[in-house]
Amino acid sequence: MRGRLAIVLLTLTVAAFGQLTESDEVARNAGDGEHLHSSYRYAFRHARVSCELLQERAQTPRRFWRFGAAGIGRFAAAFLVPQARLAEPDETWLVDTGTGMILARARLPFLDREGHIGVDMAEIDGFRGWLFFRLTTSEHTLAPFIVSARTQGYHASMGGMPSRLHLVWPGGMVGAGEQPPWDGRAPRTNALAFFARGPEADRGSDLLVFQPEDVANLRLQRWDSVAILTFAPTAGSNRLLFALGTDAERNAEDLAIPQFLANGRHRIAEAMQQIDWDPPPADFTRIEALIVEIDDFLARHPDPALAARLSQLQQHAEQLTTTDLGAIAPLEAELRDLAETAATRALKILLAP
Amino acid sequence: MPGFVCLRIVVMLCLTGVLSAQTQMDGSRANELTTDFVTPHLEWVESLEGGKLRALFVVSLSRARLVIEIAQRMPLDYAAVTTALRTYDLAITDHPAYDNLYTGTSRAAKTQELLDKLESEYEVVVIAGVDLGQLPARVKLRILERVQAGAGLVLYDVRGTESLQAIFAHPAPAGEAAIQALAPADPSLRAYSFGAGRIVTAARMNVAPFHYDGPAWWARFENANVLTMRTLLWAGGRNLVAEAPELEGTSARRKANGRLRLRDSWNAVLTENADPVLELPPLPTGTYYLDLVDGSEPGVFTFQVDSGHTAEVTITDDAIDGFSPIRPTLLLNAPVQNGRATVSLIDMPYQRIWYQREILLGDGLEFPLAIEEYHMPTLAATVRVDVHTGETPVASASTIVYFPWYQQHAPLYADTLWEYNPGGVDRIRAIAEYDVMGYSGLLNRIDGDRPSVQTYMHLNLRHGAHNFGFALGNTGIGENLTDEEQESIALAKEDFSIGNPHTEPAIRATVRSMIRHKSLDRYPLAFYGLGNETKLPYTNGFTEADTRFLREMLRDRYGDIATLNAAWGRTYASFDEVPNMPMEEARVNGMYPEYMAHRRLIDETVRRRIEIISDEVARIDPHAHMGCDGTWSLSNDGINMEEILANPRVNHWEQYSRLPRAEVLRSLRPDAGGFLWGWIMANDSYPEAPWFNLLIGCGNHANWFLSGCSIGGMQLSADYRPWRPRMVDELEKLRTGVAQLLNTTPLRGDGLAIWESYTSNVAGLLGDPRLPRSTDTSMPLIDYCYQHGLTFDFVARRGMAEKLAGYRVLVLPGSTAIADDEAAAMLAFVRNGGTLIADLNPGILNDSFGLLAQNRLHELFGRLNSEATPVRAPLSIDTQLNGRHLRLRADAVGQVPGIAPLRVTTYGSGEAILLNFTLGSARESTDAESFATFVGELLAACDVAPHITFTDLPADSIARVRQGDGFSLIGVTHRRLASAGENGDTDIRLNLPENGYVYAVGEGFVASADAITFQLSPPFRLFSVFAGEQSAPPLRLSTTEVTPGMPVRLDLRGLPVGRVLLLQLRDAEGNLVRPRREAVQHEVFLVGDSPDHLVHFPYTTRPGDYQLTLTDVVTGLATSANLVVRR
Repeated sequence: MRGRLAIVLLTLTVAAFGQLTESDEVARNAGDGEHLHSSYRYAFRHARVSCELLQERAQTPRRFWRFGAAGIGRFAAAFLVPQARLAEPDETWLVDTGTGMILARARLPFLDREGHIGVDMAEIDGFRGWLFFRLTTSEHTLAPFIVSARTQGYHASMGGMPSRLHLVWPGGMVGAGEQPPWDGRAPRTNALAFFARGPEADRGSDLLVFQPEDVANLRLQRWDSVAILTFAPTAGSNRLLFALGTDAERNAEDLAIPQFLANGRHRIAEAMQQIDWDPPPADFTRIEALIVEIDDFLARHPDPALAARLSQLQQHAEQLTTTDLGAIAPLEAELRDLAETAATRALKILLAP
Repeated sequence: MPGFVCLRIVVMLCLTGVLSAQTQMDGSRANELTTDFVTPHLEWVESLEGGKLRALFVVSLSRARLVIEIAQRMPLDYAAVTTALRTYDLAITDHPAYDNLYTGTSRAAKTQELLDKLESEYEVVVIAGVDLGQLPARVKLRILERVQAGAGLVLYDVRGTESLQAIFAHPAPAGEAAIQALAPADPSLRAYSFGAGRIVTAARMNVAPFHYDGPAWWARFENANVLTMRTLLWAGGRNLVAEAPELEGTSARRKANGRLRLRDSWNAVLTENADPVLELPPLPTGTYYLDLVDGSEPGVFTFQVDSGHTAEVTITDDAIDGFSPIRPTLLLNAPVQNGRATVSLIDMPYQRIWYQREILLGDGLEFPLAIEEYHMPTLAATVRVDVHTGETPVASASTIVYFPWYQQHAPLYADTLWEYNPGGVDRIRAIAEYDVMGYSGLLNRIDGDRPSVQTYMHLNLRHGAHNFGFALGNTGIGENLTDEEQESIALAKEDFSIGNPHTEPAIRATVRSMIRHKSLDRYPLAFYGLGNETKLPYTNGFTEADTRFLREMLRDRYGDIATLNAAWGRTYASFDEVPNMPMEEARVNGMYPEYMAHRRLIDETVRRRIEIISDEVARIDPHAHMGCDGTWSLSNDGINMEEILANPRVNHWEQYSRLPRAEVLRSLRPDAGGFLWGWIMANDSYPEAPWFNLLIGCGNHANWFLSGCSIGGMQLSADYRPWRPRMVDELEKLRTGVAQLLNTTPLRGDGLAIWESYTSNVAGLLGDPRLPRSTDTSMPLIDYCYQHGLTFDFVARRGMAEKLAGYRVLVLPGSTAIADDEAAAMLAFVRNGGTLIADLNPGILNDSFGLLAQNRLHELFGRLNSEATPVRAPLSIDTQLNGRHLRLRADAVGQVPGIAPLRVTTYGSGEAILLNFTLGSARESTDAESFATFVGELLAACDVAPHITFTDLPADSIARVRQGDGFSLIGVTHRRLASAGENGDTDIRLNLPENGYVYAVGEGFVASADAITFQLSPPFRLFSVFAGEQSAPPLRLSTTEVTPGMPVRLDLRGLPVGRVLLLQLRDAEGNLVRPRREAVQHEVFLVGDSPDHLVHFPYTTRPGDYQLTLTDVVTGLATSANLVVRR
């Protein structure tokens, strides 16, 4: 199972561009009424996404998948797919496509029936702070899914006042506790943004872009220090695109959000449409070049230990095929490390008195 | 509906161009050096024995231009890997917001580029401004293996050499001597051998002073390049003969091959030839350079001449008041027989001579000089005196004088760049960015070792300061305080509360410290920006002094506690019981008066600080442009603009193009200049921020615009244009008359006013469902006005009774808090025939935020229940008003139960209309067309209608109509298209009220018609409409035969006063003669009372044919005349 590959990757220390790791902290308590079954961490260039498979503490437990996309927003933007009973992922990988994009996938089979939910993620160069998602299902219609945002809050004993989360869309804004006019209806917009007033006013904005035609209704389920948005896909929609982004640098209310709603969201939506979610075949060019480079170093400065390590990695490389996407980046990182080690030794010799 | 703010218009109109939402852009502009932009330079080596020097440069962007400077002077076959601008990082785009925005700029990409480029062979590798620790061992190994085998390595200002000390084990003093034998000495330069290769280290790649300090800078820069060339040649293994020429009497003889060239200290080439012997002309006392040119190596031999005479020019005050007579003194060491002196006034940095007179010298040693009736177009100039005995020059001297007039008198429009902190601008960059791109000003901080005002004046740049006034603690500020000042600061430091008696002296001491630090009393700033922050958020203000001051404020406001209690609905026994309460605590507990009281404490503190700072500055600079910074509203939720703008010394506003603040600013202080922050934009954008602000009327006077290029790409070619491909031409159009025309043509009055009430605005922030935000109605209304070319103004409390007489309609958006006197002015307005339109719950609070038992303006809007909360319900209006049919249906709009959606009351001669909803909530719940029709009919029923109409104007367009003297000016822009760098591609029809002659501003005749069709391509169009046909302006000159130094008189009689004219001089090749940064000051002018305008020609004007063109900007019609300049 491809998921097992992730355990191997735990041994890696340096990732080329990104890495996928699986936590060994299974069965850790994850919260009231549930416990963590397993978790995966996707390290993109910038975004860090931890994906957790939770198991309910119920007589008939079901598992569900939750993304704690901590690297995306300061408001701990997250989404989960609550209605499905899911098994361990049967496909997980993360790959640099070589086209300015890191693509990652998790495919989770249903526990109690045939079929699966797929979660694809893409981080694209030039869209820093954004992670693009594609949810797919083998079934007729996707289950409703949830995106949430949360303020961190300051404790009153520290002299702070509570932050108040605000939700903005093109044409309107509500503060926490206030009902937006579109609540429970099909959204007219393709974008939402969160920010806080009060002590967290300088902590940026969290931004969401989706395709309104895919959403039958949008509900603001809970709305205090946490905002939980439930997207109900339209009947027959088994593929849904959305993007989560953040702008932590600029003032949310006056700069980042107005600009995002005026212009940025269109660009995000356009980019989202253009993503090629099919992974490219594994490219061994850089691996081959590194092997040649290390070989050359070792020919000039022989080192049996390094030669043995190179041989190991070379064998590993020879076993890989063009579908071994997840193995390319770590192998390349290993080889680059080895090349640096060999070069460092050669440099020491060169500079020796 | 609580907090239901219509942001649609705000967001559509606000500055756009989210960097995080750009696709990855072509990084070649940051990665590749280009030689397209040629700077002034001398020829040094045409061909090298052994061919071009093959070099690889690994060079920070800030030094990258120096590679091109070398390539301009010697045969160089180079490759280059560019690195971070100033941070010694290998990656260029390491900024959290910009990372990977450009292709090939990341650390990984740079590493790969280095490895790839190291596949080729080089004679020398030059690394400048890089941390070697960031280079992978694989890269370092490849480089050092090459060096060991015989290649050269030059390290300029590198870091991370600790692990490489072995390469510096074998000094090569002979190399140091050879390099510096015919070049300026560099004490930091060290040479080494490593294997068969050579290594040189030095602190700087170019040893010339970074800042341009006068005409001698050019010679030092040339000489510094010779040092760099010799360093590269030696390190690259080329043989340096290093034989100096011999000086014998009045001749110089070269030993090596090549030719000799003689330069003076101002870099003027005095003589040169290819013979072995160069005869030297008579030379006055001074420093000279003999150049070895076109030999196997470039070289400079420096020598001194002593004619027996020395001269000095002194001046008691080098800051000239206006353009008053300049009175320097010439001092000689000995009398000059048959002596005469030529006195010249030479501008900086272009070295054009604008004044030249000869005086006879008697027997004395001291000669007072007087330079009168001169023209000086730049901020600094050199007074140069050349002393002769008979025809023989014996001495020369110079001094610099400054013309602060240009700092203190801003042009109608100017462009400004944000400078990198803490650096300045070098001359080469200034040529590209300022002379070519047209920026005439610069913004930087003044604390610490940042450059002085004079540094920028040398480059003819107006210098405005950012973060002025609240800078205590910044480096360099506070180090020059008197004991008394230090004590006042120490005493105030605990809180800087305005209630602390030591605060005012402390603030004044801080300001004086800044003035002293950069001698602002002599060289004033063009602009005193008060900075990003007041350092005073609303969460502050809780010291004892603050609370004491709050209670004093309340006592002043209410007189006695009973009056306060009545206004607030409280039972405090005394003012000492009134709490100084955190605003959020007050808000959540519904204690709105306490909330507002604390807010007013902070507002008053800010107002007082600004008052003190601006007063202190005015003592040394009565012309000071004091500016507030629009970012205050970022840290504080809102700002009391009315109070701050009431300070007449505040006459600039650094703003972020945000609405409605930009319109409030325009309305309340049309005289205030604007500083537009516009740096957040894609490289391919049009100048969206200047277009928007100029069009809406917020670009008055010195309307500065920033478009800093964050990663310093201009350093590569010293050419900014590739970074702003869509801005260059458009900004040039703006500065050559279009901006000035917009800034001097008033908006057409359409009789519509919107009430700006800070108190009500704040009430809208409380989150109380009964108190809507004012922008809920004002922004949809602004959007409608923009779409239909309808002018509106904001009217605030100050002087509202008088101002309202000029309007037919006053809209009260979210005006829940109304004071007695405000209500009285409104009642009078309606009584006299005006129409008042209010949305939800007008006047349910007094201006202390106390809930009123009987709402203000109940005579107009009836009794309102201040306890009732609006609920969302269907809205249906279908009624007639003054002959107009008002219809509006919406699904769910917040309304107060029991009140009709639209209620009209007649009062005196006027009417009051209560909308029981905000326009924003209505627009959200209905279609755009129905909403626009409703607003249009409502305004028309109140006798407010657009002067022109459009067909097929794209949504979110902004149209504005101005009324000039005999013409209308109609402009349209579209911010989203502009910031995306896109053009509109649909036809738009502009329908005029009657037939007219239509001209495209700055371009020419369009049509004689009652309608025209155009596209938003580019997305900023400006048309003028006249009743009759216009003709080109007459170009009546006093002569077409020009003598340098003598002005030509242009007759302006008959031209309408106030008309914006553009006068441009082109040489025989068609090139504009003036540097582009001078356009705003010296090419554009307004017809005034004077019957003529002088066209100045400096003494340095090259003889030849020229063409002078006079353009009437409003029509674009122009007349040209040919001129001949003769000696």
